Amino acid sequence: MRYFNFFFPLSMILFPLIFSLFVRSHPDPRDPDPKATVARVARLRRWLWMGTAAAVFVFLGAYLFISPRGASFLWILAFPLWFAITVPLLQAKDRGWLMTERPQARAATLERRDVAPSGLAIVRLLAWILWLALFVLALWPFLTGQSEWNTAWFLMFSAFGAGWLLMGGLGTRLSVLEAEPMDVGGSPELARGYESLRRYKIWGWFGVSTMAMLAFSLPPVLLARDPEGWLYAAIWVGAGGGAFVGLLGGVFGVTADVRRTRLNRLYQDLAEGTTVGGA
Amino acid sequence: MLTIRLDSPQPLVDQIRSGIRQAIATGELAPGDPLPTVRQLAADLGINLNTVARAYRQLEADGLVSTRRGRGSVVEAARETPGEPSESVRQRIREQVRTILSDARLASLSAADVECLFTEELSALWPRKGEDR
Repeated sequence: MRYFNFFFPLSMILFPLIFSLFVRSHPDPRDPDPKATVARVARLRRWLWMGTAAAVFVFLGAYLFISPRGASFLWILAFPLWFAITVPLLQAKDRGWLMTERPQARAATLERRDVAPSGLAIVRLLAWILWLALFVLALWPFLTGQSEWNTAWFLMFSAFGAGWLLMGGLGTRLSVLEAEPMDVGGSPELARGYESLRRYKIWGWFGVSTMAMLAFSLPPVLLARDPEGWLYAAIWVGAGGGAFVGLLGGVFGVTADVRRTRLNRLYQDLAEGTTVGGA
Repeated sequence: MLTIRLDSPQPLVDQIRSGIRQAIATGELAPGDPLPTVRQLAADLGINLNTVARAYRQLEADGLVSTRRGRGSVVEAARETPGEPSESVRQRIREQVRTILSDARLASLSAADVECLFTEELSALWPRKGEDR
């Protein structure tokens, strides 16, 4: 737990800076003032370095001199670093990160997209059956008086498990409804890209939500069997599982963003090079 | 594929309506085919939900689309109605053609330009044998 309290917040704080270093610059050939963009990138990069250094300094100070456990909550410093500095930096480096003003000529597919990939419904049903099985496993010793652990914990863990599965379903739906603007030429490459991203998001949401459900549903099962001996194991499953799911979700979100960025760039290139009635 | 132009003098509702009508006429959308949801089409085109909803309502009033709870909007009309079109239909189409031709004349298009445009559109809707739609 000590290592977790140290490394998890630190890696979260460092993530925006490390990620930004891996994103290559894609200068916009139509940029009216490229020098200003280069200067903006340099300025934001400087801010990101300074912000990250300050956040690490604050975290280490809190960890070493105040409370290691309390310091572990400072991972939230990653949010201002990401949203206030890293996102504008990425947008300045590559316009694909920013959906710029859309052209006057717009196009859309006439195919409805509410069809989830075949097999997903069955797999989702299996995930719910798994949750139910874990729920019953955790509930049984509790009902038969073999376990005296806290009802509130049991209910909270079970509700979170089910909540994640519900959120997975909602996320899948939102993924399908996300805008997929087409160029007026109807580029097959763009259409294939959207389809691939959609499939990735749907399965990604499913994977993350199912793993999160397991992370929350396993601790009550372990605790119900033996509250004394399994307490630490359950905490490990919850904390370790939670951290794993957090990282998995982060990786999924960022990789989906990278794919989306490529498609935005392709769309913008196509949209600016086409007009209605011909390429 | 549905295309609209935000800078066109034609209202967006009409552009969506005529785009879907054209897709039905050319067979891109067949009877029973589901239309994109209002939310999906509005998001893809980057326009207001109500604009798409109004266009769908007009298509419903035209009898080309039907909307049922839990099923969404689907193409209703048969693409080609067998038998001779009625005289009133002919008259309506004639008036529409006259309006288009007047607009073309006012826009200083030559007769050859108009003929060329009509030929292109005719071949899209009534392809000759061996020609792709």
